[in-house]
Amino acid sequence: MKFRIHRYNPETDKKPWMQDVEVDIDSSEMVRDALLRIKAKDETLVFRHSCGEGVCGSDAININGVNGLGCLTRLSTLKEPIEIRPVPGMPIVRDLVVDMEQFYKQYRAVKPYLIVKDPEPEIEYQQTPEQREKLDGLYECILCGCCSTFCPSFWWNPDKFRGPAALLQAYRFLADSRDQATEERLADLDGPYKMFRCHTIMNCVNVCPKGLNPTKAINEIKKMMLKDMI
Amino acid sequence: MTARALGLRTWLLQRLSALYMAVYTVIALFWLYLSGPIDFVAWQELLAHPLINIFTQLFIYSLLAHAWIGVKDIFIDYVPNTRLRFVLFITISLLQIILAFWTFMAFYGVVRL
Repeated sequence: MKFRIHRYNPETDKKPWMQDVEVDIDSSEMVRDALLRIKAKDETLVFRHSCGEGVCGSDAININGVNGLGCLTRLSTLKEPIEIRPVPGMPIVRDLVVDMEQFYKQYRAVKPYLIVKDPEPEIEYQQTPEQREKLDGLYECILCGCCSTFCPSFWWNPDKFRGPAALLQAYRFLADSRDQATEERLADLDGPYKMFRCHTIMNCVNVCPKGLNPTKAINEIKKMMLKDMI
Repeated sequence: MTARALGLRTWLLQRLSALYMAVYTVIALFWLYLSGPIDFVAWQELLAHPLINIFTQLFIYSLLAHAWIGVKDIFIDYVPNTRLRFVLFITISLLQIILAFWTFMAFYGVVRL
């Protein structure tokens, strides 16, 4: 199968370039397998990967123009030559590896942890099954960054707009019956940038390898803000 | 204007103005369809009615507010230079105020109380 792979080594290359590679591989295998096959021949190729089954979120790449996980994208679903690039909008470290700091910074900014003001319970926090159900479709995020790095609003304002991944997590804690910082979280997200840069483009929904829906989460936050205002 | 006002409140205003324009357009089109061809005198008669005058004015203010928010969003997205963005923002806001004033003058001129 034919591949075109984005190559850039800041120490030797002036500009990024595309390398044409042919690999003898069965189309039932995944993109990650092909990259490993290529690396076995040319060890200078650099990319991130770890678990190989869509759990760690390390190998987010841009495949034929669409973000996805290398380990979950089957070769048979792709048109040749398969173009593999780093996820867009992020500073490139080398080949397919990008600097994710901006993404993590936005994630940290939504305080992705329970904030409880009451004294902590002696044994454990309790939730009804219904309260727990509200977290389905939110907690499964693996922070691969496919969504945020495919969001035009995040490309234009990565320093100010939280991005779909961080906003999904913001709602994950707003929806949690145990969290007691709803007011503060909502107040923090108001204003023109942090959440309202979202124009419901829904690229995030299209590319999420876990099938999550950040746009819906963002709408739920807007609804909570509205109720809070009224 | 605080930064906070440009978040939830403008977002809400954009939705409410859209809703108003949608409802107004459907009713207006239906009305015009029923009343058949209309000449200049008939237009003046129609807009001389205070209620129709006010609802039509509201439609244009909604359009202006809706457009102002949309253009402001485009500036925030695509004009990263703060100084240029500020100049554009002031220009579009002044233009909107002038248009709103002009609308008021035009409609106030034809209304019969």
